[in-house]
Parts: sequence; structure tokens; C-alpha cells
Amino acid sequence: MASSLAWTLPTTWMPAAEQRLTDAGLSELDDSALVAASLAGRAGAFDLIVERHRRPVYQLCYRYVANHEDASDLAQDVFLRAYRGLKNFRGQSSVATWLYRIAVNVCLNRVTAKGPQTESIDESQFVDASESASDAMLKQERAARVRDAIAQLPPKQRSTLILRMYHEMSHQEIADALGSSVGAVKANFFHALGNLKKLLEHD
Amino acid sequence: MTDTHHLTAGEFVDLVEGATSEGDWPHLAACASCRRQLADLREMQEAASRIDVPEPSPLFWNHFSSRVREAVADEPVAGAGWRRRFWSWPGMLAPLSAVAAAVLVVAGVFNARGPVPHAGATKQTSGSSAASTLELLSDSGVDDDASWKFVADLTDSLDWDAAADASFAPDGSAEHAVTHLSLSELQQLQRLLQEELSGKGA
Repeated sequence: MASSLAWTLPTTWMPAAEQRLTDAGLSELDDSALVAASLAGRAGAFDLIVERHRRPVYQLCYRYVANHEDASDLAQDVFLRAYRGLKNFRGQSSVATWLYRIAVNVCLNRVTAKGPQTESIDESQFVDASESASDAMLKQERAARVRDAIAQLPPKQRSTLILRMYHEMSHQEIADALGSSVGAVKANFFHALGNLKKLLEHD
Repeated sequence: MTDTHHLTAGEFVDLVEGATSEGDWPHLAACASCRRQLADLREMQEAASRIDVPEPSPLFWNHFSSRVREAVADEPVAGAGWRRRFWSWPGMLAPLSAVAAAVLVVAGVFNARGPVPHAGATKQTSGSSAASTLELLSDSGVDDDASWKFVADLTDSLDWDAAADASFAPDGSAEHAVTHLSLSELQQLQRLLQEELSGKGA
């Protein structure tokens, strides 16, 4: 009976020393083990998954919507959906790839509904101090134009370009995430780069 | 690798990403259009690669994790089925207290009605609802009914006065619902209790 109660007691009720040991143990787990720990109700396990993957998920969302507010909301939504779908994670891909897949779906749903709300050039940051002011401004303008052009790409081309260039996913991983084939992924990447050229020339 | 046809989208991508080299494609040397297209693709790849995501302030990440934690706190426990939620502490409190109340009520009725009739006994003729329930049970033979034996074991040393002093649950409460379980529902509850107690090494 005591062991039964121990199994059902949440870890937040454990003595402090045992809690510290538990936290230290969690940080040593790989992502798949953290998913299992989250499903088992281990406090802090999902927090650690968020901590490990929040930056790349945020960056992926940002590349879709090109503004901080929407990227933050989308990234939060990604982790909430991931938590709800933890039991569906089969370990056939990495947790990162699984999260990216959720992020792509979340972002595509959002941009389909709203369209991109890009930030102005003034909101760009981190000017290289070694550059002249004019060079830095030109660089920022160019970056903003490219960022806006990416945000205007058709959804699958945008997804393919973002996942390939910024998250270094293989063609097969992208195909799995988008539900297509390697050939289609390469074709989408090819057309994405071609359309970028057209958009920038037209701008 | 043909040297007479323009490159396909996939072949261009392999070139741009360095999976193949220009020397693998003799057609390129002979086709200005394909060379120009390859140059454009490389230019766009280079331009896109220089786009960084502005890094938010350091405080943003702590706030972000907190917001996710708050959102997740409102969700059911990930992966918890209904059995796990039923038996998880403090989720056990309500059903366990309801079961305890049900045992007291059943024991009270049990003791008020007197000894359990043996198999084959004739039906009781009292008009009370509790008696109606006992009529059905006596037809099947109470001594052979595991549910009643279970309750009898639990209430063997129970004082009727203590049971009578137990306050009954208000309408709509979990305790009230348990005290109105049918025989089959009580049997199911008994089976769940026995599984949990025997399975956890109690």
C-alpha cells in the first residue's frame, strides 16, 4: 500500500533532498526519456523539453511570420499542442523534428488565416559595430526585404525553405513533416529560391 | 546524368547544396540558360542564409517558459487515462470518501435488515426500497454473491450507531452518486478496489 501511495504522489510532495535529486536526474535524460517522464507525470520533465527547444521553435515561427509578437504566440501554441499530443509521440523521429512538424502546422494555419505581419526595419537589432552606419542600414534593408519575400512564398515552398536552410532538416525529414516526397521537397525548394528572386526583383 | 537535357529541379538543388558538382553535368558547360539559373539559385540561397532571427531579450525566455507552464497547468495530465486520473492523489480523495460513505450506508441497511438469508430463501415482503434491492439479491443467493461478501467482510465489526451517525452526502455530490449505484455498478467498484489493493502490494 505504501508503495502504491508513493507511485501516485506527485513529486512536488517529495522531501526537498529527493526533489533536488529528481531535478538533477531529469537534466541527464535525453529528449525521448523526457517525453516518457512527462507522460509518467514527473514534475519538470516537460519544462525541460520546453527549455531545450524553445529557441529553435521560436525561430522557426518567426521565419514564418517575421514579427516577434506572433512568433511568441505561435511558439507557445506549439508547446501546448505538443503537451496535448505527448502520448502520440512514437519516437520514430527526434523530438526536435516532431516539434518542428507541429510548428509548421501551427504556422501554416496562422498565416493562411492572417497573412504575414512583418516588422519595420527600425525593429531590427544587433547592428555590427565594425560596419559603417550606411552599410549597416543597407544590410538591414536587404535582410528585411528578403525576410518579407520569404513570408510571401506559398506555404509549402516557405516551409521547405525554412526547414532546410535554418533547421538543417534532411529532405526526407522535411518530406515526413510536410507529408510529401523527397522529390516534391526538392522541387519546392527549387521553386522557393526561384520565387524569391522574382519577389526581390519586383520589390 | 544527361548532357543533352536541361537540369531538373532536383538536379539543380543537388548542385546548389553541394551534393553534386558542376563537373558531373557536362550540359552546364554547353547551356547558358542552366548556368544562369544555377547562379540565380545560389544567389538566393546565399541571401536567405544571411537572414537571422532577431534575438529576443534574455527575460523573454524565462517569461516564455512561465507562460507555457501556466498554459500546460490547465491541461489534463499528459498521458493520463481515466484509470490513472481516478487513482492519482489527490484525485483519489473524492471517490474513496464516496466509497467509504457507500460502505457505511450499505452496512447500515445490512445491519438494519438483520442476518443475510441463505440461498434459496423466499423473497422478503417489506415495502421499503432497500428491501426491494434485497429481494433481488436473495433470489440469486447472497452467500454466493461476492459483492455482499466483500461488504460483509468490511463491515463485520462496524457499529450501526456509527454508521447511522454518518452524514449523507448532498444531492449531486460524488458521495451521493456512489450511494445510488446499482448492484452491477457496486460490483464493478468492488472489483476495481480489489484490483488496486491486491495489485499494489497492499
